[in-house]
Amino acid sequence: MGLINTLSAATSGLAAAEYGLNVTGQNIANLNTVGYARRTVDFVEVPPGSGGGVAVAQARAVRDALLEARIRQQFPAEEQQGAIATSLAIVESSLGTPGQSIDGALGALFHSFATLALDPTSSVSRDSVVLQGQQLARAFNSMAVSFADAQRSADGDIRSGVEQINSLATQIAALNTSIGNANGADAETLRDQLGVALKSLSGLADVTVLQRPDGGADVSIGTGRALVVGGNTYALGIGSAGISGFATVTSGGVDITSEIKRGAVGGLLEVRDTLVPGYQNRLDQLAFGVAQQVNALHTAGYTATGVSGQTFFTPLTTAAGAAAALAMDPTLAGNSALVAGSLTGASGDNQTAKAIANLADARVMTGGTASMSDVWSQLVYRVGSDSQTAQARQASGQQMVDQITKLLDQVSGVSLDEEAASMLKFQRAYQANAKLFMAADSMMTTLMAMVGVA
Amino acid sequence: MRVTFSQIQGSLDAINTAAAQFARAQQQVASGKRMQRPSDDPMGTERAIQDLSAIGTIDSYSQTSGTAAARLSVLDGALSSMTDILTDALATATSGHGSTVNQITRDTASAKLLALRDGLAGSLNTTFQGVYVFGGTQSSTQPYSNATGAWVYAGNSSSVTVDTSPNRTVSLSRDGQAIAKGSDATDVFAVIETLAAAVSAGNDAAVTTGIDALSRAFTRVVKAQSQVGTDESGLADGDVQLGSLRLAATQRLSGDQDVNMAQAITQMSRAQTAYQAALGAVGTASKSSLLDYLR
Repeated sequence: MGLINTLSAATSGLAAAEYGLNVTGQNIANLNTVGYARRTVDFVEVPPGSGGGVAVAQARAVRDALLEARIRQQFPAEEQQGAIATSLAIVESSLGTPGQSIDGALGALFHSFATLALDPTSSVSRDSVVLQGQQLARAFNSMAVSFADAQRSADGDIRSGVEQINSLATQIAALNTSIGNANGADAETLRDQLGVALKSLSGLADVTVLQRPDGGADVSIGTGRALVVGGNTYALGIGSAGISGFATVTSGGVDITSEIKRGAVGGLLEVRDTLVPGYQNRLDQLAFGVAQQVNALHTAGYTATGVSGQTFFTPLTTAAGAAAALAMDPTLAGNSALVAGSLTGASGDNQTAKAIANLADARVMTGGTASMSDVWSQLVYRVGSDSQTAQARQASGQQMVDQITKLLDQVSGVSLDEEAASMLKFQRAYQANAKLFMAADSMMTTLMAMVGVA
Repeated sequence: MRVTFSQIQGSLDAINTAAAQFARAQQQVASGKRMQRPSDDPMGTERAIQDLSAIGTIDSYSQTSGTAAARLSVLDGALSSMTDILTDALATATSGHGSTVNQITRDTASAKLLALRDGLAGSLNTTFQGVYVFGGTQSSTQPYSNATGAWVYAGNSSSVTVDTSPNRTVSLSRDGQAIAKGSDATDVFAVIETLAAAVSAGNDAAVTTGIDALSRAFTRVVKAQSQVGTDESGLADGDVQLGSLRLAATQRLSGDQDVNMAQAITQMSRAQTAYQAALGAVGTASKSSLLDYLR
């Protein structure tokens, strides 16, 4: 040990402080970089025997693999409910307000029959019956279109979701390759990017992430189907489902649509394949019931001129698609004199009109347990409560993700106060080392003067 | 615990939540409606639809009841005039009856009886907005006509009924023949014609028979009129009932749909305070850092 050693130790200290300040600068610069994990510098002592001083061991990214995995677990559920809530909000708004939708049109049709019952020979009442019948059919048609639109828009989002999954998978595979080839500090930057890509991917679908020994990640989707293995991507395909032409998700030619339950794509699939078809089915049942009930009574009646009643709505054979197909009989629509209000054929008889008017609150639907407006209100209730549930679940999922993100931030986030303190710390260390260098140097000068060198 | 920069950013969420609550409360106060869409209260929306449907049915009954009342008053008026005519006919027949009456008086009484018969036919052929009210359900054919010297009833024995409340039915038309003929062998027109002939001929026995038959017709008309009266007072009762049903349904609907203003305004001011507090907290928290103190 000697002054020369002290000089070199001071030099290493200067270098270390400079490095530390560098890392601090990097942390502050990346204050707002998404996915950036703060770096800390590990210093190691160089034993006096080996020259003394300090050496930089590594700049380490501070991560918590467990919390990162927890986010990837919570995120899919939150995104799934978010996708459902967004889609259903649109369906909800198409339902209209109470009294001004299908329920209002139903009420208006039955009311027009009640008015006809008061004066079965009135042509004005007949015209009004035809008009209200057309309004009701149109209300059903446009509601069916709204539901179909909701399905189609979910389908479009599913297609773009699958494309996003593929592009993220490609990105992850590229990052895996780079991580495998890189070493040291470079890899940390890549891992930051990998973390961001994995989080986005988990928001789209059910994915399982397996950490690779080199810090990269293998990803599988659905029930363990490979999506990314090392640098290889196994892209998802889009197939076409039967008559509807809706997208199916395929992996290696196998239809895995039913395996995707979570993430935004999972939520959209639920909207497209379960929720909206359920509403559509109820609407169809209602439209079918209305057509059946009204037609049955109407065909049994007689017009004011004693002509046997014809069908009021164009007859439907099945409930499927009834709401979209519901239409008034074109002959009747063109000639309101064909409206049947009489049951006996006598011009003043109003029993048929009265019987149809009484359908308004008769329990004729779902096996005689519900009235027509009950069926409609149940449909609205179903949509409302599904939407409410999705909103609540999304909110609680969001809170969960936020909490974990906060926890992760406590570990990995950049704290300005802390960085300011580090800055001061390294600055002081630099000053102290410089001072040491100066002291050693001055001692050296003294020594030199003694031997007459200077 | 390490407090990081992004946590301060995260408190923006708190501001957003508070702002969203404020906006929602404000919308409720502005619109006066508790629910903007079904998911705000699915159960309440379902009830609102059912309430509105119930109100629609009640309104339909009310309208029916109003029209029925007009029809009944027409029936009432027609039956009143029939009572008057029959009273007059009875008096006329009686005045032309007896040994002290001369032929001129008899002929005058006989002619008046025939005129009264036509008046009676007019009453039985009363229409309301083009609808014959004494023809049963044959509302577009004149009930009584005399084409070939005989009076023919073209109506039927059915009646047009309407529901004026969930369990009240009112008949809007009457079977003219039940009034004019009832269980007698001939209708009241034939009775009057026979009576007129008997009065003119001074056939006292036939006049007495005719007066008896006329009295039975009078009883039938009075009975029919009292039925109309019962229906009319029933309608009035029904209207009161419909009114209270509608009020109840409207109140229920309002409870489901309308916002409690006092509560909504309190909520709004609370949300506003929370919003301001969140803004203030974030503003204060991000104002200072250690960097401010380093030189």
